[in-house]
Amino acid sequence: MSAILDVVARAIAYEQRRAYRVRETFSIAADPRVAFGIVPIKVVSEEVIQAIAYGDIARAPKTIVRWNPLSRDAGDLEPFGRALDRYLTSMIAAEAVPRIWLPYSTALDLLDVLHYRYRTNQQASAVLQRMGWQCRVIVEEASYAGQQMVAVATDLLCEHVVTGQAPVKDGHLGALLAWVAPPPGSDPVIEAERRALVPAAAMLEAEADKRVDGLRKRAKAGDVRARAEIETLLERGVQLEWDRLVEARRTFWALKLKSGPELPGLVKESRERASYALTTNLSPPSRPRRARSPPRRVRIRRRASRGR
Amino acid sequence: MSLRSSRGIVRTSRNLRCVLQAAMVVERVSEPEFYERVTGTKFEGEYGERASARRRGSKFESNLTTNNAALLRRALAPIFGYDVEAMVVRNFADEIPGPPHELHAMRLTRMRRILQDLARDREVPHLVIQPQLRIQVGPNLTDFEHVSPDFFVLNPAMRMYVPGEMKSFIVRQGVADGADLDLTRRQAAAQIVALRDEAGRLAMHGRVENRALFVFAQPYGLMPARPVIEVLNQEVFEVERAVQFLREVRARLVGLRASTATPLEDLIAELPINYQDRCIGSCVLATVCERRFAGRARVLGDAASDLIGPDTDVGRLVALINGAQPRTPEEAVFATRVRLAAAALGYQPRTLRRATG
Repeated sequence: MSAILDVVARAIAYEQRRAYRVRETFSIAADPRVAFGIVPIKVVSEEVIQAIAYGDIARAPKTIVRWNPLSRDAGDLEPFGRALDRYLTSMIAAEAVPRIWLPYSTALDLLDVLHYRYRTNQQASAVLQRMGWQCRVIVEEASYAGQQMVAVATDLLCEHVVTGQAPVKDGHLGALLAWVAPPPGSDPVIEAERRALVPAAAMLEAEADKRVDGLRKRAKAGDVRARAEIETLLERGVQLEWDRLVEARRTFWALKLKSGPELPGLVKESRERASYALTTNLSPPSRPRRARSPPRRVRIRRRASRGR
Repeated sequence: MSLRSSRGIVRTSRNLRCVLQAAMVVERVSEPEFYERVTGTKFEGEYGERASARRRGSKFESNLTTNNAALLRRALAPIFGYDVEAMVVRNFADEIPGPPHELHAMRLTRMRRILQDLARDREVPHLVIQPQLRIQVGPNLTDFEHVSPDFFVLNPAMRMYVPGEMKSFIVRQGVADGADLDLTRRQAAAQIVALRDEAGRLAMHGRVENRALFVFAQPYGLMPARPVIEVLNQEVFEVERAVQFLREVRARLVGLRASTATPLEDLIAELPINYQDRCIGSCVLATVCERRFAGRARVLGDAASDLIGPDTDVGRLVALINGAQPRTPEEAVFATRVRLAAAALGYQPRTLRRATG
């Protein structure tokens, strides 16, 4: 959209106190029968997941909370890896495009870090390596224009509507929703400002984060109560983000736009790319040297020493 | 947290027309406290770095600088052609432990001695951890800000140090997050300006290049990624302008207080602001300044301000779209432009809507 169109749309939205629709058709096809939501909460700056909600977006999520996310043992992420694998595999088997819903692009960055950390990590379990590979496929697919597999709620909403606030504020999903679906009787200018006080970028609210950080020392020393409190805070935080994603998805489809004529072609392309990438691991983790048979000259020498 | 040291200079360099922000830097205010003094209410947003971020940053730095900065030496040696084992390191954090307000002066003295040795062509350490510099931001001897680079590494080609920053940001495919980089680059630019100032005392300012080194983290933990050297001409230019701007604002504050010592919060009406998108999330007064522009194009963002002017009345703009009569020839041109844009957006003007029922 050109700059003048964006400015005029923002001015109209500001005056009408409601986001202004700037597209006549949806840029993505309708969700398949099952769409998969992923909502991570990271330790700020560490890019380590401390909680994750995932699963069928139409149902209550499954959650994993990690009281000690900096531990080297990442086995607790395996249920997520298995669920993601089940979903992607079943969708590809059914010759459908998987649909992954994420709240914002920070979540995509976290999936990218999972790919870096586990895909070729020889210390990681096969489940985690596969999860790393599948995360890479998701991140790569998201980079294609017109792709139909990854739905980043904030980006999608911004593509279809324009708010009456500065674009830089649209990155906050809560503030964005205050403009797209303002609560009855509220002024979105004030409501968005209020919501923006709490960050929405895959992290806990500051007070909860501080509390969790303080409790972690006690939890490491074996304090069971501290662990339980951390888990409760994380559970609450990730559920809040999940609810926001569900609301964003509902709000998005409630825009009730027409389906674009280009979508079937884009769906086909996305399905072909995803199907190939999810069934062909181009650079799997190299196997440890000791697992390979020794070089030929060593085998000859060994045979010779055994007198054969 | 206050706007002391290079933090204030960096903030000023990002908005070189906001006199209020520069005044806050000059006065070294604590932002949340100042917000309370201005508005009478507590600042409800998040302020300052989170504990986990601080911890990761210091862990990364200590990881790189322990064992005579073994990891840092290994990362830097190939860039300058040094033998890793032959590199001489001085770590001021180890040499001068103690309270921060004393450290600055003592570390600065030692750094100046090293620079003097460099000027006399004597042997100097290849790597200095936690060196200290200062930038003069006013006419008095006490009007300076401390600048504390993470390290200096000697560039043998120039016989001058290059400032370096260790940041625990994760690098993927050799690239760190752009938002993280802007502040880091400006921080390094402030270090270049301060180093050039110090080198200038010894007639070596020509040897200081607008280059800095960045050591970021790999995605796998706290190991350093391959260091990056960047040329920071633009950032250095803006930091130099920021220093000059701070001097001007300091003089302006002195003028405003010529008769009575008025507190800064009471001078706000006299100090021009320059509210922009960047203020959001970086200045505690962003919402306060934004409210001054309620109903004007400024609240719609930088692009809107640049395109139609920050003071354009949004209500008038929409009225023109809806068919209001332009008052001037300029407004008539503007009306045609915005009506065309509104039509392209499929907007139905209110008058038309009424007519069509």
